[in-house]
Amino acid sequence: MRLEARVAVTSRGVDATLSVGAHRTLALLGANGAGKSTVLESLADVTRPDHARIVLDGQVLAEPGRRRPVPARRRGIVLLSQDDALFPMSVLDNVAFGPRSAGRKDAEDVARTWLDHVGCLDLAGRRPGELSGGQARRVAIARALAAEPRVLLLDEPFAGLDVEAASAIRALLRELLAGTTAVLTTHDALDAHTLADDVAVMESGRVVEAGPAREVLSRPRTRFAARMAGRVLIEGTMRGGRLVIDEVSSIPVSGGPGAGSRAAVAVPPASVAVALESPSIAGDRAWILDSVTTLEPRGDHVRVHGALVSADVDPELASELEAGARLWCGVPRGLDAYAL
Amino acid sequence: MRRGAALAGAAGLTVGLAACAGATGAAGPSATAIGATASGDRTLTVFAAASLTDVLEEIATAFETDHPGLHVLRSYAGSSDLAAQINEGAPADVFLSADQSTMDKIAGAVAGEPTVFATNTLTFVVPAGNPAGIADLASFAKPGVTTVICAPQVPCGAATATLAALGGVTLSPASEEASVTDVLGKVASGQADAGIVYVTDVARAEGVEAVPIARADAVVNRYPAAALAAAADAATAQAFVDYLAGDEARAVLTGAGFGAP
Amino acid sequence: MTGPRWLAPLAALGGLLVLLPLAGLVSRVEWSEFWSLVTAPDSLTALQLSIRTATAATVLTLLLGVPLGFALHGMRRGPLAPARAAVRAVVLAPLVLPPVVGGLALLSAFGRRGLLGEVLGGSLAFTTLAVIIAQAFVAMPFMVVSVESALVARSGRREAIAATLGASRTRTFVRVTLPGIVPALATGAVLAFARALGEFGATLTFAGSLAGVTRTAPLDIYLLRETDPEAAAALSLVLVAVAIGVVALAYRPVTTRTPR
Repeated sequence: MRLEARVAVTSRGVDATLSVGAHRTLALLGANGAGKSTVLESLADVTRPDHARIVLDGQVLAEPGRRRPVPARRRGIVLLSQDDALFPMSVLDNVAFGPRSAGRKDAEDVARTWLDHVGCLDLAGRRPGELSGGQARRVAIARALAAEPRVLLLDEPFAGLDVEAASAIRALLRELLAGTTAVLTTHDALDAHTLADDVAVMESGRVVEAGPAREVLSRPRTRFAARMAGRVLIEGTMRGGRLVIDEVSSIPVSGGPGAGSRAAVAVPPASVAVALESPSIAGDRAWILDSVTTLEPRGDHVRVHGALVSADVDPELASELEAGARLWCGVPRGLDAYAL
Repeated sequence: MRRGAALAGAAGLTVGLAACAGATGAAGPSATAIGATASGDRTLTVFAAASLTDVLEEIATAFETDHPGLHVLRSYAGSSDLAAQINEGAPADVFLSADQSTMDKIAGAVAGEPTVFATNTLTFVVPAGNPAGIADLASFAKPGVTTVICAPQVPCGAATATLAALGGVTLSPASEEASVTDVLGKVASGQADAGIVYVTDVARAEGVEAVPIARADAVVNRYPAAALAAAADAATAQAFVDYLAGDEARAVLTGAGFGAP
Repeated sequence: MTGPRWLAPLAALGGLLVLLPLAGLVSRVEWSEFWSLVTAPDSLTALQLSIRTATAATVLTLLLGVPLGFALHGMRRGPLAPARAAVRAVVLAPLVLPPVVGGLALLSAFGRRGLLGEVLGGSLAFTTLAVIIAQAFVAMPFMVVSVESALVARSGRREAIAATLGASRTRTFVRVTLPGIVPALATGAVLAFARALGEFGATLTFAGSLAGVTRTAPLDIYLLRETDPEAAAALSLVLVAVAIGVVALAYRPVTTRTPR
């Protein structure tokens, strides 16, 4: 079940190309409004894209010039939406909806099996209004899977859930997604890491970086991808085991391409230290002279964005900073460098 | 959605109420009569059965010419409605009823004796050209002919029933209307093949013609007029009643199809 | 939210405007004879006819008004979108049309000399079916408005999800959409029933007035008004009670309704 797709929705500024390998899970990673949901809806024919080429396992579902794309009900692509969208019928009937639509006589048995699978068999007789958020999400998952989708699309599967319910659903999905061809959208690198085999980073409606999850998340190639992966990208040129950032700063790294090549390290902002005065050269950190561009409050800490590096600092220190201020950023020595 | 439905609902209810109000409003005093008091030194208020509308306009104008400075205020409606209004204290000086029994209902409010000033008889009314070929009561009562008459509860219906009994036929109308106007409407629109109304009604209507009913003069409807006890100017009120019975008014009434008392 | 004080006397006047006529009607009823007046054969015949025809008209508005509401909602996209407002205005016109005008309009369509006169051959005139058509004509907008506004409030997401689960359009319509707009259907049906029950002008103009066939309660009241005002008042009170009951039912607080 390999899925290859390019979908464009002009009104929402989306033009994305992606591919999902058979039995693999792709995470579409991006900020809110990046167009992730639009891509999923286009794949499922919930939104009619302006331009689309969608090929599932060799079967063309949509392509430019084709008069009518294959309609949603014949695609075998099931969308699990953020709002669950349960139907006004019992939980059991909800889950049996897919099998019944397919004309299966044993629809109810199938539904019970899936309800059991998601741990909601005891809710079979309830109406959607009588479910908690976590229960509703489980039922929606059971309903989606009971339809035996060729591809399962999950739009922010943990949106709107409390922490406890979200982590329970996360565990459930980790089990259910194994061996399923699936695409899920998230803005959380951790979810991409734990649930997906591959990651595609979306920015402003476009896929800017794609590849195996580990590769994209630990070795992002663009500042945006790094940011989505919860890291800051420090770019430079290799010279003698050091990554030269500018005339002033260079840091010792491990690995990396040959001298003269463009390279980068990706480091979590939390592990970057900040000093206002020139620090002693000694120590386990290499220091980069930077200037503050913006200060981003993030709850109990403030992320200081510099022209070169970002760092998480406590609010007390942040209060002494302002845009344009000079500061020293200390990154660990020997970070893994990779070619850009 | 709730809001939309609620608004629509409210609108609908308003329409519903308006519908009912329209029904009574149509029979209530006409608006023209009410706003016209400003000019003229004296005013005589006449409540008249709706069937008198055309003739009374002419008669009242002539009466005004004879009595300079007098303005005759006319209010037309169904006799029953007017009688009810008079009983509730409406400021009328003269009442012209379409039948004697309605006049009897306001006996307490009448000054002196009512005077019958006109009569009316029944006639068949048919669409122009008389497509169903109605000629007499027998052809009117024939199965397959769609007929409309007044309901027996109202005066013209009672008269119709009496006439049918005299003619020895049993009528099986498609509809029994509450007013002559409704009977005329059904015939004029071609919904019905024939109806029975008063001679003067046909004279006023368009697209229909009258076919005389034999022995129609056996059932005569009488129009009594009476000055009312509450009249501000009893003499003028009585003068108007007398004028109605006089030759000048008679000529107008005859011209409209009314008979002499 | 509390408004300025001077709203209170106006509110009281407004209340009186509604209450006084109803109180007047109540004062006209001969309570000792109320029951016998209302259960008199003529009254019963008219009330029964009213209930029968209003029920039939309500069913008709469900059968035709629901698809019409869907069609109107469907017009919001596609080539007909610009005409939607105009079409809606026309479809909803009977809501605000003077009833007699409605009757004349029906007459010119279904009457003997109407557009369909040749086809129908006058078979509709003076029949109970004519009453039902007149009632459905004036009651239909309630259903159309209810359905359309319910559909507008829906995101359409459930229908889209149902399609991805493999459901046909019919199955989605029957199992997902219709159950989702049941409250709107109920409101529409109740209001349509009430409107049909109160229909007067169009029936009078279009269908006629014959006991047991076309003389519904409002027409009976219209007739009784001249000859038997006590009976008219009693019968009117019955209709007022039904109207108040219907409004209470249709506009009961939102919280007591089943969630969509």
